Amino acid sequence: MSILTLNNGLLLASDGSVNPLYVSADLALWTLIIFGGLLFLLGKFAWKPIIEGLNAREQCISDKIDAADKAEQQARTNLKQYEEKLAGAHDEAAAVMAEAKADANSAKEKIVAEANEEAIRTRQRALGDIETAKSEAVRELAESSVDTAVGLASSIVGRALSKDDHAKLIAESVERFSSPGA
Amino acid sequence: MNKDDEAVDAHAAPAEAAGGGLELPRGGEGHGVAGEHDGHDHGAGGHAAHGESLGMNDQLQANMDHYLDIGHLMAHVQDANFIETPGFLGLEYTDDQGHVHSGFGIPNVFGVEQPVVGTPEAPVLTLRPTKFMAIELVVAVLMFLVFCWLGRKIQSGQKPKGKVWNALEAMIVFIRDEVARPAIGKKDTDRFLPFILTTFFFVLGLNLFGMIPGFGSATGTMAVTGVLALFVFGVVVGSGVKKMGFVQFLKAQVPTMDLPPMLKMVLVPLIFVIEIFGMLVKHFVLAVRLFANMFAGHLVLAIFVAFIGVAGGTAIVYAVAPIAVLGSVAFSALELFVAFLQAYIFAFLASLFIGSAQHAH
Repeated sequence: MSILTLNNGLLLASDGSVNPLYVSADLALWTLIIFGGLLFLLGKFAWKPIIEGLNAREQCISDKIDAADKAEQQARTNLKQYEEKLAGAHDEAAAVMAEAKADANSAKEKIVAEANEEAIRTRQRALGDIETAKSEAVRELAESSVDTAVGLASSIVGRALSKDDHAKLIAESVERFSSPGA
Repeated sequence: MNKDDEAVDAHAAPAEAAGGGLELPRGGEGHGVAGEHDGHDHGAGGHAAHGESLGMNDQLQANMDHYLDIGHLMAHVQDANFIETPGFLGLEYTDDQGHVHSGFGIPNVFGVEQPVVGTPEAPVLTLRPTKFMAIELVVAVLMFLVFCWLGRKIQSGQKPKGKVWNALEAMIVFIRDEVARPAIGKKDTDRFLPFILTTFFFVLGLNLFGMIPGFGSATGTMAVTGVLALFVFGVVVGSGVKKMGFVQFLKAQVPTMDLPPMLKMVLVPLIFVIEIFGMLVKHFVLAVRLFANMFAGHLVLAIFVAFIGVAGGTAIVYAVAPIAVLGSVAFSALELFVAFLQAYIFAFLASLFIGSAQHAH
């Protein structure tokens, strides 16, 4: 190995020859100190937080990806469930609609039937009332006619008819009125 | 690193040639020794005289002898105790031998005038700061500030924002996920990641500093890459011994062989020696690979720019200069890529060596 000299301000081998492989003891020692010191200082103050920070971030990203995978899986399951539910809801709605229609039809028929019955009942009741009124009217007419006839007869006969007579006459008159062809 | 200086030198070399008559500086003898290295103190006015006294071929020969001299080229890519600056900045540095350079000196902060080890004539350890030492210090301080800032940012749990933060994180995560983990294994990576990251960014920082004109790449010296490889070797052996125990670690260097006992007795020691030698060699090669790539790259870059100096003072300089500038720009782009590539390769191989030490052969 050549010896270092400061020839012309340049670090050359002492014999003046050019030796690219020349190893300067000064530079080697300086590099040892600088690199060793740098290794120690960076290891203590820089690489430790950097490596820990990167690992923490890596873990965080990994956890988030796992969580996202799980969430996606859950979302797929939920979607499937909702689709099944939706399909069920369609069927249910159709069933409800059919039932409602059936109910409506049955209610309609029932109402119509009740209305018809009510109409028949009303008609019959009206007919009954008419019949009663008619009978009443006939009876009143017969009484009135009897009274009138009795009055006339009394005035003609000149005597008063007794109560029993009246009743007898009324009954006869009514029977006459009531009998066909009377 | 040398464009401006070379441009200045383009005028200085002919002056040198003229000043010395036809005693042109010759490769190998002139530029490794004191007194003939720089091109800045040869005096002015030589250019005109030179043009008159020499033909174009002589001029080119003189320029080639000066600018393509290995000593001259080496001066631009190796360590020095001053940093070169372009001549137009007007900065001057006078070295110990009284030679004036365009640039500024690295202050002798330790105040040591005499060599600590060796003699003034043959010093071994001088403790004189050089530009590569200064660059290493600047890179280390920058790395410390930047990564402490990044550490605080990442630990805050905020989302990465901004180009610097994202770029640094991208590089760190790349080294961790694509370099360290495949080589060392996920379980052990975090233990060695600080070393691998420091190595990668330190090498990258030094490589990139080499792209700044006038500075030079500290990774283009064996002293730097050798120490870095020594660190890798220390980590490889240290982690292996810690994990397996010293004896087991040595045993693990020999692959398991199903051989007859007699043959085993002969082969195992032989293979052990080969494996230990192989381990030393691969770490040495780790140092040489980085050094050679960076050194050669910067030397080629210096040669590209030196062509301007070679053509200086002749008519062809107008054709050569643009080509040399374009060529050096293109080569600088390649060097920028190489700066990242070599840092990656160094970290990758360091990871591989560490990984292999964690498991038996």
